[in-house]
Parts: sequence; structure tokens; C-alpha cells
Amino acid sequence: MPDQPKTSSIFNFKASQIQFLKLCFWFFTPVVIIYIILETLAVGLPSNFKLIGTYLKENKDNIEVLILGVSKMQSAVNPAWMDRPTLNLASSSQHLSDDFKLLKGTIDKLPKLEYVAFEISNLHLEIPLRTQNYWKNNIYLRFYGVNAFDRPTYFKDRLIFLSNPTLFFYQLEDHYFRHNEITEYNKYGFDTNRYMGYFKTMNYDEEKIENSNFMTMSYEDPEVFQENSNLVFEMLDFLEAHNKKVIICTVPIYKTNLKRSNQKAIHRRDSILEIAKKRYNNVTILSKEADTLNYGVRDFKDAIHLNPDGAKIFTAQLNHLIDSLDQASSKRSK
Amino acid sequence: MLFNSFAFGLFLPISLLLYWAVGFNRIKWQNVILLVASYLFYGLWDWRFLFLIIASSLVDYFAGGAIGGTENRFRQRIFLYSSIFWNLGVLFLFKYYNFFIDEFAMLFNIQHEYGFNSLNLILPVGLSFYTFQTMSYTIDVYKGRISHSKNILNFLCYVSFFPQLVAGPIEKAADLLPQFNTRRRFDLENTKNGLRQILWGLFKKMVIADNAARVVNIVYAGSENYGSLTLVFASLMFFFQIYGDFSGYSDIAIGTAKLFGFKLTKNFNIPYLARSSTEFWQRWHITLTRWFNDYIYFPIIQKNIRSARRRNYAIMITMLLIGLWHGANWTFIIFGLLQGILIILERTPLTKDRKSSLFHTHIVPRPIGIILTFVFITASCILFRSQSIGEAWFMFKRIFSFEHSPALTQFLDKRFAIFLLVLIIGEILTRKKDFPLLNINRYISRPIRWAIYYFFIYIIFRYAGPTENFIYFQF
Repeated sequence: MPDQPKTSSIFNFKASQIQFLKLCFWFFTPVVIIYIILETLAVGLPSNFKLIGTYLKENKDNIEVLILGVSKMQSAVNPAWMDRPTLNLASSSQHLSDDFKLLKGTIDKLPKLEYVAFEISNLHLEIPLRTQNYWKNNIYLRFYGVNAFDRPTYFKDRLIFLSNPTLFFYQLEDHYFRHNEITEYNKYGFDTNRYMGYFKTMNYDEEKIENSNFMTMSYEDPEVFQENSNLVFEMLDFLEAHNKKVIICTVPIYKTNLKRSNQKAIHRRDSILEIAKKRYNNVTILSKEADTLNYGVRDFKDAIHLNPDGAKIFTAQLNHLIDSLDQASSKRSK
Repeated sequence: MLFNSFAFGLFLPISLLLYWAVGFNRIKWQNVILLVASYLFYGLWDWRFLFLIIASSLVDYFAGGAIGGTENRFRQRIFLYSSIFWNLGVLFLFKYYNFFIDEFAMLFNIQHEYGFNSLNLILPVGLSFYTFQTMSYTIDVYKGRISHSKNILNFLCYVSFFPQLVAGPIEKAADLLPQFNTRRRFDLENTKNGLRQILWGLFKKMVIADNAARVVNIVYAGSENYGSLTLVFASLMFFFQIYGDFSGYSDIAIGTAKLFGFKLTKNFNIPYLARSSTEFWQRWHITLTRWFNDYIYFPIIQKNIRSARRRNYAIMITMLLIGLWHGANWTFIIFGLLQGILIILERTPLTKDRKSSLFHTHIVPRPIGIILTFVFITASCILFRSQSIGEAWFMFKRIFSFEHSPALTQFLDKRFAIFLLVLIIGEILTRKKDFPLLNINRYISRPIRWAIYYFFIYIIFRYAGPTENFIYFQF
């Protein structure tokens, strides 16, 4: 090895290593620069998380109602139509454990919080806990200031683009090149233009919808159910200890889908709702899953999500329930 | 720490810089850095795992030393058996105890009477890999194939070398241990090839395996909702998932080792081109097959190499153990048995001539052999993916029910098909090389080369599937 320096100091790289380091520098510099650009653009994208985060920051001292759950709940409650200041933190694929983390991370920031409404839909308790880092943890940290990692956070945990490059690449392409975004978020992060979906494509034709072959989740797992049920009770204990009123919601599902759902899972879920109602004085159930009187086909975006018209009805029902709970508690206090 | 994580992206350059910064003459310091890096890499999963790997390393180091330090064959045998007893005991306790105790209790219906209870133990990541590696050391010392290690630091490095610690390749002591004793050369071309191999491995893992996993996970979670073709498609996807996942991991491991000046054994050789089951196992997880050949198959047949019965027995035992190595479940046992049966059939002479078997004569034309083998392997992958025999049986029954598959179209993805073609065509065209990007600089100019690398980086970021754990970590 002729180019090896005869020195006792460390960092005695030889020429080929220096050359390699230079190559790496030149190769990776554009990668890092492009990454920084992408991260900046991703943070700048219009997103409901960002709006919710801003709303939370600006109104944390006034918020009285907190909404948690998955996309069903997200599209069912528009805080703009609520009588009391409301924060809707529900979002797609948000597991109960994520709801619980968000609850624990926000409860102390919301001094006036009185009601917590969360969703336990037909298959909610059959969905297994995530074993991997959830990409939304970065979002929660960055926009809501909630650490959902169950560990101390690091610099990389605040990076948005890195949390889900595939998704953010897609969103950036949508925003800057395809210009086909149809979302219209209000200041609460609710999409007031969430009509486009399977039902609109079918022109709200009930017969066509009835005969169509849309996917129905029929997955069930009694073991997972047990774990999730424990989590529900843990969450209810926590809320009871914090003296909060709880509304457990089941959001409307289109009748065809409800028929096709796994009935065993629904019965199991209902038994948990029954126990919760009996065991906790602060728990009320808002069960609208099978409500076919108030909700017609035009209130749905697809088989399991309400559109803004449906959200108007559900939000009114939630409002009404909160009012009646208020009246009941004021009667009791008199 | 996963290879496809941000943490590894920081860990690798830092450990690499420190490693080469201490200089070529300081082998000891380089090994210290490697050992610390390896324990950090492993300990970040769960620091408690470190106790086990250190204990296993020490047991085998001292057992090897004791065997090498005496001429007395009886004493040597005692030390060898002690080491094997420890290694298999640990493996049994963490990996197989619950399975056997549950099956035993169920078989005799004695769970309640005798208090047979499962243990609540976490299976340490990569236990099967490093246990087999350390066992190979003591056995080879006993057999006189290598001399015992006199340097404990080098031996600890051999057992815990982080690129291949958790999912192989399973290196024999004779191949890897001497590399820790010798001065490492920084070869610029070799280092660049290491980075290229890492890039190729990441493509296989994050684009092929993780996207295939998306389909597999959905279909297997509700197989009763899908028709025959969809189930066949999901099983095909599972083959590419497991291939992309494991061979991708091996590529990253081998590439990473190259950056540190080490050479690891090739672990995959385009297995979907195998024309027989025997050949498949010569192309799939090569280091595991080699381990079982060296320490199980050959020792059984060497007493009477011409006995067909002994050979068949050796094949069945070897394949059964290979199946069991993958996990404590009847699905893996049946998987191994099926492989064994097919290999025996392939190797059974059709005439009195010992070399008249299907395997030796190649009567079946190559393309047909490849297709048949691929179908068999894909079908047996159903056992590999299913959680129980019942689930696998249900899958087979449902496939042969010839149920209509309207949902299939929702899983067909043109873009993924293109990536799969890039993988397959790339590997087939460069089949004489270790991986397609090897020595790409010899025939492509730098600007185009860099454009290709950037393109792959873009594809990985843009089209990676949802992060999935490396499948072989569980073994």
C-alpha cells in the first residue's frame, strides 16, 4: 500500500479514501438539497393537519369538545356547526391507541375541555395494534405538539416528508403538477367538499349500489378484540379520572354495507358499549350506525363515510345530545 | 435498527468513518469499533438480547478453546456436546419450547393436570442465525477444519458482525473469522460496489417486497372474501415479497460488509430460475442450505454414500430441519417435508444407473422445469405464509373451488408490474454477476451511471410500499 501515510494520528485516510469521500460528497449533496426542498414543500402543502394544528394553538383555551376516531368520524363532525368550540382530531386509520395518545397529549392543553367524543365503529375493536412506527406520529408531533412515539423524540421525528415519502410525493405531484385537488378545508380542518366518492360515481342510484361489489371488511379477531376492549376501558378510566364527559359514537353506515358487515364483530362491540354504559356514569352512547331514518343515500360519500350533507345531520345529533346532557347535569346540580 | 431506516442511514456512515479513520495498521481498534457498532446495532432492538449473544459467544469461544487445547478425543467431545447443548438449548427455549409444550399438552390432554404452561418469552432477533454460526465454529474446531480462535475480540466480532447478524448470510467460521485477523484493504471499486449493492437491495426490499406485501396482507387477512385467481395472485406476490425481502436484506448486508472491507457469501442466485426443487435450494438461502449440508446431510450419508435409503433419510431429515428452522409451527414442518419428498422424487434413479434421476438427466426441458418448480414453490409458499395448517388448507380449498375473482383487478398495478420486470430482467440479463449493478462503471459513463442511481433513489422514495419488517428477522 504505497499511499498509506506513516502517521500515528487517527484520520489518516489514504488517497483512495479521500477520493471516495469526495465522490460521496458530490453524489449525496444533491440528494440532501432535494430532500430539504421536498421537506419544505411538504410542510407548505395545504393539509387538514396543519389547519387543525393552527386552530388548536389559537383556541386551546376555549375548546370544550374533543372528537377522536377514524375517517368515519372525521367526515361526520364539522366543528363549524357545533355550538361549542370543538376540535376534531379524528383521521383515517387512526387506531384507538392513537386516539388515546392524542387524548393524553392534548388533555392538559385544553383547560375548558368538557366532552370527549370518540368512535367505536362496527370493526373498530377488531383492528390490531400497530407494531411499527406510525407515520402520523410525525404529523402529531409537528402540528399538534403531541408525542405519540412512546419514547423521547429526535430531530427526525419532526420531519414530515420522511414520515411517508410515497404519500407526500403523491400529494406534491397532485398539488404542483396535476392540480386535481378537490378538497376545501375550513379553518377547523374539515373538508367541506367531500362529496366525490363511490356513491356520486354511481349517481346515488340505490339499485346500482345494492348490486355493486364494493369491499366490505369482514375481518375479525377475538384476541385483538380483547386487547382493544381493555384499551377502551383504560381510556374510559382515564377520562373518568379527569372528570370528562364521554360520548361513544357509532357513525352511520350505508344500509347495504351494514347488512354485509361481520355480525359477530358487531355483537361483540355492542356488548362493550353496554358494559361501558353501565360501568361509567360519565359515558353516553350516540348510536347512529343503523340510522336509516335520518340518513339517505345522498348523505353518504361511500358505504362507510358521510359526505358534508350527512355530516350536517350527525353534527346536529351530537349537538343535540350535548345540549340534553348539559340540561340533565344542570338539573342534577340544582 | 432496520437497514431501511433513518437511524441506519446515520449509523452506517458514522461507524464507517470511525472504522477507516483509525488506520489500516490498527486491526484491533477497527475490531473494537466494529464490536461496539454491532452491539449498538443489536442492542437498539432490545438491550436484553445482548446478554444472550454475549453468553453464546463466550460459551463457544471457551468451548472452541478447550477443544483446540486438548488432544484427548473424549474431552474434546465433551466440550463439543456442551457447546451444542447450550446452543440448541437456548434455541429450543426461546423458539420451540412453547410450540412443543403446547402440542405435547394437547396431544395427551394434560395441560391442566400437570401445569404445562407456555413461557412468555420474546424471541431474540436473529437468534437462529448467530446460533448456527457459532455452532459451526465449535464443530469445525472439533473436526479439525479450523484451529480455535485465540483472540476473544475477533471471535466476538465474528459472532456479532452487524451486517449479517440478524438475518445472515450464515457465515462459517472458516470463511469469516480469518477476515477479522487480517489487515483490511480499502478498495475503492469494491467500496463503490458495496454502495451499489445496498441500493439494489433497498430497491428489492422497499419497492418490490413492501408493495407485494400490501396485496398479500389484504388478501390473507380475509381470504374467504376472494376468488381463486386472487388467491393465486396473492400467493405469487408472496413469493416475490419474501424473495425481495430476504434477498434484498442479503444484498444490503453483503454491500455493507464490503464497505468495511469484508466479503460475505452470496445468499441468493435467481431462485425463480431453478429447474428443480434441488436446484431451488442451491439458489435460495444458499448459506442455510450449505450449513445443513455440511453439518446434517453429509454426516448422515458419509457412512454409506451409495445407499439410496440412507440418502433419502438424510434428505428428509435435512429438509424437515430446514422447515423447522424457519419457525415453530406445523406449517413449516409440512413445508420442509414436502420439499424433502420432491427432492427425493427428483433424485430417485429411473433406471439402474444411479445418475438416471430427473435431477441428473434433465429429461424435462428447462423452461418446463422452471415453470413446474416455480409453481410448486409458490404453492408451498402458502404454507409459509399461513398461520396454521387450517388456514393453509382453507387457502388450497378455496383456490381449487374456482370461485370467480372480481376483486382481482383492484390488486393489479401496472407500475408494480414494471418494477417487477426491472427486477427479473435485470437479474436474468446479469445472471453471471452477483447483482445487476456490479461493476456498472466498466460499461457505463459516470453521468449516466449517476442518473441511474438517482433514478433508483427516486423510485425507492416515491414508490416504496408501507414499511414492513424484514420477514426473516422472526426466524
